[in-house]
This record gives sequence, C-alpha cells and structure tokens, in this order.
Amino acid sequence: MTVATPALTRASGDFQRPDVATQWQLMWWRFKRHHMAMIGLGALGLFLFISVFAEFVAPYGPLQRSKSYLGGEPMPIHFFDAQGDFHLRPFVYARVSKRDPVTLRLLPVVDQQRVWPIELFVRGDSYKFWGLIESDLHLFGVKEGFVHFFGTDHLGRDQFSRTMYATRISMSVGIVGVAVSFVLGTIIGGISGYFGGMADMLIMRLIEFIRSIPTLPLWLALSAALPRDWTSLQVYVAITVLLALIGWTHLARTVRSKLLALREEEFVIAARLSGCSDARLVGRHLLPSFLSFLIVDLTIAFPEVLLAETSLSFLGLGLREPAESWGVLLYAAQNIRSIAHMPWLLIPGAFVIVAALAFNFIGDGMRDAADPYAK
Amino acid sequence: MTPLIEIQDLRVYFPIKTGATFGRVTGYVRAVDGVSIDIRRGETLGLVGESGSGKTTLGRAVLRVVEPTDGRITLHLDGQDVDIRALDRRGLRRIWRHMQLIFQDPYASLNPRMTVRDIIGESLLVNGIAKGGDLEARVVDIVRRCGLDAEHLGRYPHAFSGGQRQRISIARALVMRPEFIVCDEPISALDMSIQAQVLNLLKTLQAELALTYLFIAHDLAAVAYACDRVAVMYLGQIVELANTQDLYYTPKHPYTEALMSAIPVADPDAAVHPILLPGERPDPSNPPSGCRFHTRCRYADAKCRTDAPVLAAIADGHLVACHYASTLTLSGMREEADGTDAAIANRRKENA
Repeated sequence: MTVATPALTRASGDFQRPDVATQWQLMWWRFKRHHMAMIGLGALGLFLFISVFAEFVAPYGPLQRSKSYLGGEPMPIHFFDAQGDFHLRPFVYARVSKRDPVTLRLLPVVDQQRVWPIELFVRGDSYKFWGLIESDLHLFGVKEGFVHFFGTDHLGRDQFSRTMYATRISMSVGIVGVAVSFVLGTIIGGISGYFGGMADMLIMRLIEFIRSIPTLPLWLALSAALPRDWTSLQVYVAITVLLALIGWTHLARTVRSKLLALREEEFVIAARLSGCSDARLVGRHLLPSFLSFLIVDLTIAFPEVLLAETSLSFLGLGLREPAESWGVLLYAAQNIRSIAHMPWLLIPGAFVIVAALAFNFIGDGMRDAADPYAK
Repeated sequence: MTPLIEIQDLRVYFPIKTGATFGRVTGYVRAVDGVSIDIRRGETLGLVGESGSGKTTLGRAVLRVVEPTDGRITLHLDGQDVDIRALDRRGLRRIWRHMQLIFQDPYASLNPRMTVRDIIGESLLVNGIAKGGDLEARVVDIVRRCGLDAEHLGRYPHAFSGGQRQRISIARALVMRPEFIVCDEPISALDMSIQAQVLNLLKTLQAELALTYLFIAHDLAAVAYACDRVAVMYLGQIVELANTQDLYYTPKHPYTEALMSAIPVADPDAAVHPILLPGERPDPSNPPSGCRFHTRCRYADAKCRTDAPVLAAIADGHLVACHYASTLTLSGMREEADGTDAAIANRRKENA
C-alpha cells in the first residue's frame, strides 16, 4: 500500500491538478475566482428557473384579475405585526375596501388588525404547465385574501405573476435570438474567413451595409411589416427571428477575424504539416481555439437582443398583450399617470437591468477565464 | 553523392495591395529573391542573417508552408526525386512525412487544447501510420529520445516549461521519422542554459536518426556550434556560403565581415570594434540596384551600384556573391576570442 500525499487524500474533491486539467477545467477554476461573474451566474440561474417554472412560481395566472385591488400598491412582507409580535410565518396585512370621501371611489386600505399569512406550496388556481401537465400547485400563496408583492395594474392583474411569465418570454426571445445569430454568424463568418477572396469581400460588404442602417428604424420598419392579425405567438416567433437576422453580423465578424488570425498560428501550421485535412484542421484545431471567445461574444450579445426586444415592445411594435414580456409590461408604464400613481409598474425594468448586468458580468468573467495565458 | 535537397533560383514574392476592396497590386515584397543552395545528406546547414532578410520565409518555402513564386525544389529520397513545387495537396501531405518544421516559439506552436500525447501522435493517426498500442509505443519512444518523461503524456502544454515545450515540438516533428528538418530559430526563444540543452539534443537526434537540418538562427555562436556549413542571407539573397570555419575566420563578403566583427568576445578587456553598417536595411519591395549591399558596404564602388554580382565559387565549397571577393582582404572572427572560437575548434576536432 503506497502512502498517498495529504493533498491527494483530501476527500473534498477540490484538489486541483492544473497539469492534467483540460482547458475547460482551467477556465472554470479561473471563472470561479471572478466574484461578480459568479453573482451574475446566480442571477442568471434564478431567471432560468423562473422561466422554466413560471406557472409554479407565480401565485396567479397572468390574466387573472384581483377585482377588489385595482391599481393596488405592492404589499410588503412582514414578520412582526402591529403589536410587535413575531410571526414565524411571514404575512401581509389584510386590505379592506373603503370609499374615498372626496372621489367616492372604492380604495383598498391596509387593515393592520388582520394578517394574511403566506404559505408555501399552496393549492391555488389551476394551470397547464407548459400547456401539458395540469396542476394547481404554486410555490407560495395565501389561503384567504390575496397577495401582490409587486402590486397590481389598473385592471387588477398581479404584477409579480406577470413579471414571472414575462421572464420566460424575454429570456426565450434572447436565447432563441442568440442561437439563431450563432448559427448564422458561425457559418457565414466561417465561409468568409476560411475561404477568403471574393466570398469574403461580398460578405464583409453585406455586413457593413446591414450595420450601417440605424437599428431602431430598421426594427420599426420590419416589425411594422408584420400583419396586425397575427396571433401573439406568431408575432413572438417573427420578432425573435427578426432580431437574430440583424444580430448575426457582429458574430460573423468575430468568427472571421479569429479564423484569419488563427490560420497563421504556428500550431495550426504544425497541424497542417502533420497531415491534417481541412475538416480536422477546422474541427480539432481552429474551432476549439476560439469557441470560448464565441461564447463570450454570445453572452454579451444576449443583453443586446433582450434590450432590443424590450425596446421594441416598449414602443408597442414588438410583442403585444396578451403575450407578456418585460418590454410589454413596461409599455403599460409609459404614461405619466402610471409613473405618478403606479410607480410599481416599472419594477420589470429592474429585471431587465439585472439580467443585462448579469450577462455582462458573466461575459467579463468568461473573457478573463478564456485566455489560456492569463496570469 | 547527390544532395538531399536542391533549391534552384527560389523566389517568394508577397504582393502589396493598395485599397481594401478593389486592391491593385502595386508591388512585391521580395522576401526570397533567387536562392540556389544544395542541402547535403546528414549535414546541418546554418542560415544566418538579420531580421527581415528572408531566412524564415526561405525555410518555410522549402516545405511549401509558404507558397514559392518561382524556382525549383527537389527532394532526393532514396532512388526517387520529388519535385516539391509540382505536388498537389495530397502529395504534399505525403511528402511532409519526410520533411518537418521545428518552430521558434514553443508557446505558439503547441495547441493548448490538446494533450501532449495527442499533439505528438496526431501525425501518425491522420496519416494512418499507426494507431492504438503501436501509436502509443512510437510516441513513447520519440518522447524518451527527446528527454521527456512518458508519464507526462496526458498533460497539457501549459504544464511545461519553455525548454520542455520545445522538446515536445521536436518530438512532434520527428515522430514520423522524417529525413529533413527545418529548424526555424529553435533556440532563440529559450533561456541561455536551455539553449545549450536543446542544441545538444538536436545533435544527438541527428546522429541517432540520420537527420539533415536546415538551421535558421541569428545567434552566430550557436550556429558555429551546431552547423557544418553556413549560408549568409541579405535582403532575400544568399551572399556567402562556406564551411563554418572558413566563413567565420576567412569571410569573403563584406556583409559577413561585418557580422563576424559583431560576435561578442568572452573577455571583458578585449578591444571590440564591430563594423557598424551605415544606414538602414533597404526596403525588400524596392531593393537597391546592382549589388544589394552596396548602400551599406564600405568597399562599394561604381560597378557595385550597377552590376549585380552572382554567387560563385571562390575556393572549393566557398561561394560568394561579391565582385571583389578575390581582391578584398577581410578580417574574420578574432582568433583570440573564446566561446564561438572554442565551438569551432571543437567542431574541427569532431570532424577530424
């Protein structure tokens, strides 16, 4: 029996062998040291969870109205009641409707004598998970009364639930848009960089042409061309493809420049001398060498697509209700009445900011981690 | 005895284009401009010259890593003459089993995403020479010969030092057992102490595997130590080619004289008077008329400005491209020097 070194016997498994580690492992170790990137990764993970389980996370359906709480403000969570007693189960104060003596409108008023405790895994409104599995289980909810963390809009729809559903749409527009951009950019940029010559010239001029068009008017023109009678699903698909058709140019340029630079790298020449075919050269040597840079580019492209979708929807030319996206929710918040009386309608904007920042942080961390010769 | 490689009037021109899109070719950088040399079987031919003289381009053009513009390259394998410039892509891949390249930068020449085993064994695999256990045995054999530990084959290049990486690079070049190796400044990126190790390794491997080297370098002491013959390049052309000791002690070209005078002496009290060449290296896209060196040569006269000298034998095996090679008395490397001097003496002893 050989005597193992102390380091090797550490059962925790975090003992790192940099000499036998793959490039991906090395990248991950470097990435983990980047705190902002790890926070970004956490935020992204949360958003993805919400996207997948939107029906479960949201206490109400997106169109369900709370008729006694129209335009209601966000309901804060409490642990201590008005008497100063501690409740293990968090609660919201109950609301009662009172008539305003001046306007004679019914207004919800906080009743500090009654509490509505928040419970986990409650049975509430039934829904079809991803349109397939029927269920009525929600992550949280209240047995009596109602709970609106982000308040409600003028129709009484729960802003929190709508934001959860919007997260799904916005994230998927981003992911699908970026994926389509990735495929287009890699293929077109690859042709441009690997074959060069006339094809390269034409593709580069095309990219310059597309990029020289001001984006906002271009989006507006293209989305205005979408038929008004399309369903929200059709519009959603069309918008996604539209954003991708413009978004690939940047990526194609990256792919082209990387290919051009790598073609002259000594290890590529060595591989050629070793007798590698074109296919092996691209697949085994070129592509893996800049894949990490591509991923970085994609992470940074993601918020662009996200913001583009938000801008379009905000202008009323992207997705439309009843489809929910962060941009659609913000569209409702664009008049002065909303900002003055219902500032909580702007909360989805915070999601946009957090998502964009998270992706940028992850991109930063990956860029630092991807450089194999970083210190 | 036929040489291993015959290079005849080799030219490599790179077009200069103006305008990004509809560029017209407005001229050529003449990186290699009419080079003819024979590389003898089993020798180490040194190729020296200042930066930008076309050494690397010449070395790569011989392997057709850089496409030559004109000229002839013939590889004489046993009983078979191969016209390198006439080969198609498949033919090239086959001929690269016999000719390989060792790079200058041991960091850029190894794919950071492959293990050492995959890097070295790749050529055996893609050429269908060996696979499985046979491949492993061949890789282990060459790795041992190159002074590496076979235990480390599973590691990635980043786990190795510069000297070890260069050994990996050498092992990759040699794993198919080629006859001819272009060593493109194989030691200039390494530490002093490592340089000597790699030079010795190259020597040992040459003896064991019957290799022929084209050794490109600018370190004259290393060239003296490693090479049997040395060619001096200036502005894309060979100006002098001779046995190492002839070239070092009795140079016949004024440019070689200037190079030799610049070899540092291992004696701090020695009077050093390097010949300082006036002016800048001329633009290789617009070389001077006549002898290309006349703009910086202290012996140049009217003839040098108009007539281009040809590379001709002045003594047995001593080729010079200078009108006044037989009349000029040029000084070689200082005899009292140590270092380079000792290296040549050592070489003389070995050859005797």
